[in-house]
Amino acid sequence: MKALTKVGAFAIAKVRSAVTLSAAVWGVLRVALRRSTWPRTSRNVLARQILFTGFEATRFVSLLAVAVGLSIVVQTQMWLARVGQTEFLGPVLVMVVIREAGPLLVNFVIIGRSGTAIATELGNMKIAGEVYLLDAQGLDPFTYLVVPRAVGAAISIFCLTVVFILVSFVSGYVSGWVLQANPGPIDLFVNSVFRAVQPADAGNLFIKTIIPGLTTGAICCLEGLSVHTAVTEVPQAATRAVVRSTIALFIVSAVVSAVTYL
Amino acid sequence: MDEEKPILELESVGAASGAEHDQGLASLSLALRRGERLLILLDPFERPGLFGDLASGLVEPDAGRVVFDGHDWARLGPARAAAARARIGRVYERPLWVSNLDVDENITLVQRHFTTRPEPEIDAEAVALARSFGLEDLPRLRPARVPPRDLRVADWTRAFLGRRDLLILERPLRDAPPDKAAGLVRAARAASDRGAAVIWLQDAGDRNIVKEFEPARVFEWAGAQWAPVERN
Repeated sequence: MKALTKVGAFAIAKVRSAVTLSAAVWGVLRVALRRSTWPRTSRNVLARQILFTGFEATRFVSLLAVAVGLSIVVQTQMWLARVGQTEFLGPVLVMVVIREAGPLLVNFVIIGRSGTAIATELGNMKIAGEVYLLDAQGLDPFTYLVVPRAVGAAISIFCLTVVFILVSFVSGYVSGWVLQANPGPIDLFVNSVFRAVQPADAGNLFIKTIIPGLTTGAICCLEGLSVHTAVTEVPQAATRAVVRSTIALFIVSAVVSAVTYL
Repeated sequence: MDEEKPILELESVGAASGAEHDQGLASLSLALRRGERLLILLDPFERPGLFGDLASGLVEPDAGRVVFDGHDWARLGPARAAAARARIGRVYERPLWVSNLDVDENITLVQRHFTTRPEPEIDAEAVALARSFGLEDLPRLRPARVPPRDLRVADWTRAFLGRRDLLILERPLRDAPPDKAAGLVRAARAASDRGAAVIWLQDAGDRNIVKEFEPARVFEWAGAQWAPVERN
């Protein structure tokens, strides 16, 4: 009976946590759509977030995209050429890179790179009394701290994923040409990819970057703001933020894939 | 704007001590009109933060109610409460700054957030105010890189910038250069002449320093108890 109680309590805690998170993401979306949420100070926070999360991660994401281009795109070109099925190059690349690998890898990078930074920054601000100060001056911490960071993360992940896809395809084609992996003429390669892209892929890409971006931003902010008084709580909050963001990413990706393609 | 209507009313307010505030407050009633100056003399070990938090609606009282400009803080929604708080200028006892903004950005933050005034105009007002307090210019560095004395004067600038309806000065002379105190007293009196209510919380031992503040009423706050002080 005791064990059953524990299982029940665990399940209730998990459901409660999921409901809180969903409410936070919904709150971010709802508040972000209000014009009054975006005075110049909040726009400034949004711009800084896009600079740190998006612009400054471009080089690393591009390097990762080159590596993916080298492995996935070249392998696909080579094996499809060997079995005489090069007409499937576009569909396979779209399926692997645009639908799954691109959004997933970029989300991972942002969770590791910016998610921890957001949770740590807000945790330290909370302990230093800076969140209290903002509140005391009339700046709502949710609209000033959480919403611009979550929206900034979502915009950055979408843009970085587009960069990732373009760089991986270009690097894949160029390396296939250098390695003589039979990439074929460039126009055929481009046509093959573009023909394979369906309207649903654009929607899939948008949802798989914007929703996890908002979720990651919201989770990391909430974990950061959940610390109380001890500095030792900050790394714990950062770790929780990474774990929960990763779980949320997998759940959102799986659900979106299932809804879009099944 | 009704000059006679109290800007701040505390009606039988009681608050227990807790993790945030090591000293509670027992049944305080107080009404402060626009332009009124109030001095609260503190025991040296008293933390003035609880009063400021109650007055600005950050802490809900355990008993009684706190009314700001005719509105009970407990009944104000988050957005209206935030906008009301922006009308309160506060000098905090301990230095509080947003560390990822420069000091000048900290000072002008509320004005930039809540108004559509052009930034050069806000900056010019902040510079003039800082100069009136004895600073050469606004510190345009992160707070961690500014000396505590300048930071304290910058804190005054932040509290007085814009048209505030209520000013709460919590031991504002702590860490401040003694020769700059007169500037703060002048600014507090000028603000009250413009219609802002000013509450100055200061150690009882420092009473003479703020003599020229000429408060309408003086209270003593010791333990959880408040008592009006006869002026001589």
